[in-house]
Amino acid sequence: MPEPIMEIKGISKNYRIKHQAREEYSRLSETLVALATHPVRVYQNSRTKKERFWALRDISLTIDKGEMVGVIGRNGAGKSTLLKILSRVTYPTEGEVVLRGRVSSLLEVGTGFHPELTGRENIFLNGAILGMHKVDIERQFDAIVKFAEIERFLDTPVKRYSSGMYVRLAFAVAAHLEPEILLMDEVLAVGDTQFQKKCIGRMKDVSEGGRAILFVSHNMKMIEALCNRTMLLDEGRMVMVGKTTDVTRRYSEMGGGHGEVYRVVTKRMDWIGLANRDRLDELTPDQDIELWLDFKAGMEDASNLEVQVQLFNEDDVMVLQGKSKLVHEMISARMGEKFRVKFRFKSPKLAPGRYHLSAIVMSGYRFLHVEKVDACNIVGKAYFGDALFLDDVLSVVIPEYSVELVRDPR
Amino acid sequence: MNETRIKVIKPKTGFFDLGFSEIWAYKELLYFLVWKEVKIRYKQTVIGAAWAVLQPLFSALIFTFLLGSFLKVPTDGIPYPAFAFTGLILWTYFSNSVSTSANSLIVNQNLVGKVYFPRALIPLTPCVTALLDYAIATVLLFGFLMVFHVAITPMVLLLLLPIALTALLASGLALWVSAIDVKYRDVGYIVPFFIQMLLFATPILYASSLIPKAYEWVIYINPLSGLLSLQRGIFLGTSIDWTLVGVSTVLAFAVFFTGMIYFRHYEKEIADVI
Repeated sequence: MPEPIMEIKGISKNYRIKHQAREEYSRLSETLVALATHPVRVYQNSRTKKERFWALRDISLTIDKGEMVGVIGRNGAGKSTLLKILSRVTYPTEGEVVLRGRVSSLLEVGTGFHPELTGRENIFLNGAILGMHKVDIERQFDAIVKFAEIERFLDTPVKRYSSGMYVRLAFAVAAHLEPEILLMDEVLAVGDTQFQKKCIGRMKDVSEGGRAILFVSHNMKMIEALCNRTMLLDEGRMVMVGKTTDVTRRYSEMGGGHGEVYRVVTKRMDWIGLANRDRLDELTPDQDIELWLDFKAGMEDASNLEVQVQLFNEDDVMVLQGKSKLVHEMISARMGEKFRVKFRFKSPKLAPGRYHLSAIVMSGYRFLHVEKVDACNIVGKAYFGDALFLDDVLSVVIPEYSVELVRDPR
Repeated sequence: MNETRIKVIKPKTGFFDLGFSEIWAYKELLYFLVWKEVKIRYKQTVIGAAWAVLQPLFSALIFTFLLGSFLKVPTDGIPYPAFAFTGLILWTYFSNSVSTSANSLIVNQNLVGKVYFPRALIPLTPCVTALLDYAIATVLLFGFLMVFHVAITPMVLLLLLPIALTALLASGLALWVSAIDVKYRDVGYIVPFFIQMLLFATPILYASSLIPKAYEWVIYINPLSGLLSLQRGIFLGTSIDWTLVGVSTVLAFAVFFTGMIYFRHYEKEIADVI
């Protein structure tokens, strides 16, 4: 039997608890003063009084060649920490990982892209950062460009790219890395549907080519479609590993999978929630739909923000879209500041049913993406009086309309 | 499966494993990082490469008036502009490398937190990039020597020696300073100040003969002084204090290797702290 391509042997990771993000960068002077005045105490503190937080606890998993394994779990379950350890960005506190092949990761698309450089130049730079050799990049160059569909913009600085083009290019480079082990963290949530399909196809090719893929996602449909085996993490521990459908079922029993499914791509912004959710339960089609989105700026000041909201019906069709920049100036927020963006759609006349929203905050190429949060419920009392059965309406919208009969028109 | 491709990720690194082989394996990335810096400078500046020479050139000009003409600082018989420029190009290399690399891990934290590669490449990149500026400035230096009728001696064949040793010293300091800076941001403030002091504490703008005997030890603990003595001996034909050069060389190697060791052992924590 061939050896597994990756063996995770009981890894754990702990972090010292940071009460505030800034405290970690201690001041040299404070350390020196403390060291001079209370040398024993400083030593003891460093030995014993560390408050520790276990981000991962005793995780073991083996992956064979050609396997595609999913990793699911709520936010803070330890998925990202696991990927960071496997990609050697950070190291385990205990345990070890044996890798029998080259590892590449897609922790964040476009890492290392420089806005001033052209698409062509960024392909080389990004390829090198992800561990490709120059000859390999040259060999794959045309395939990357074709995959990203950016032929015409190859010599344009990427700062002029749309975010879609940017993501396509970033994924294209990573998809052509040819590592034996590919680590992916939800990158497919970005880009349009057609491109997502292309990416999935590419990933299938990769795993059929004998390589292994570890795929972290919140998207249960995608996990079920791609992975045979899945691991469920919760609070740093491994809850279950097994057949994907069994694991996703267990996950939804735990209350995961739907509702608050969101992901944070950047530390710059957090999603708090839909502030007026409780007022949206019994809207009628002709009522205004107001969506109050609450956010909190993260670790740094943010400026030039655009907020988008998309409303989906039960068939996952986007029925409404609002873009703040079309009707409002760009938004800025100080570090840690909470802010609310209120959208008001005037009498959109949507058919009765449940609606979900997805919210996006964009600042240049970095964005927070909140996916499919329960938003509003529209019920069928409307302008037709009580006579009509609105439940029979199959269209997406039901505008007020009248009917006139003309006999024998000329 | 090729045995050599097996990698084990575990918490500790051996003490003497300095990671040279890892850096060597990623030499192409170093090349691309340097290439990126150069490209960006050309795209964002109007005069591009000219900055490489303007900085030491203007410094030389100012100091020629101030120290050469007004104060008549001794230069071992060499015309002051040639004397100052020879030292200033080496100094410019050193100060630019160290000051750029000091914050480099912080500036590139996005990269450091997302992708693996030997972290040492980040502080080493400015040290390599600045070599290009030095090369351009050296061409100009030969022009200076001709204009001021300084005879070129066979010693000039050793022209790569002082910059190589300076690069070693600068890289060592870059590794030390950038790693400490991740934890103690104060370093970002100390370094520019320290570099400014060092300019005057090093015989760059004056000959070391100006220094009183009682303070000669200052020259010996400053590795740059030996490298400057070597630099001027090679380009200007002045006498070289070989003892001083020897001491400086040992110090440069010491700074480099301790820098590598320190960086290597701190490397694994960088992504967690940054």
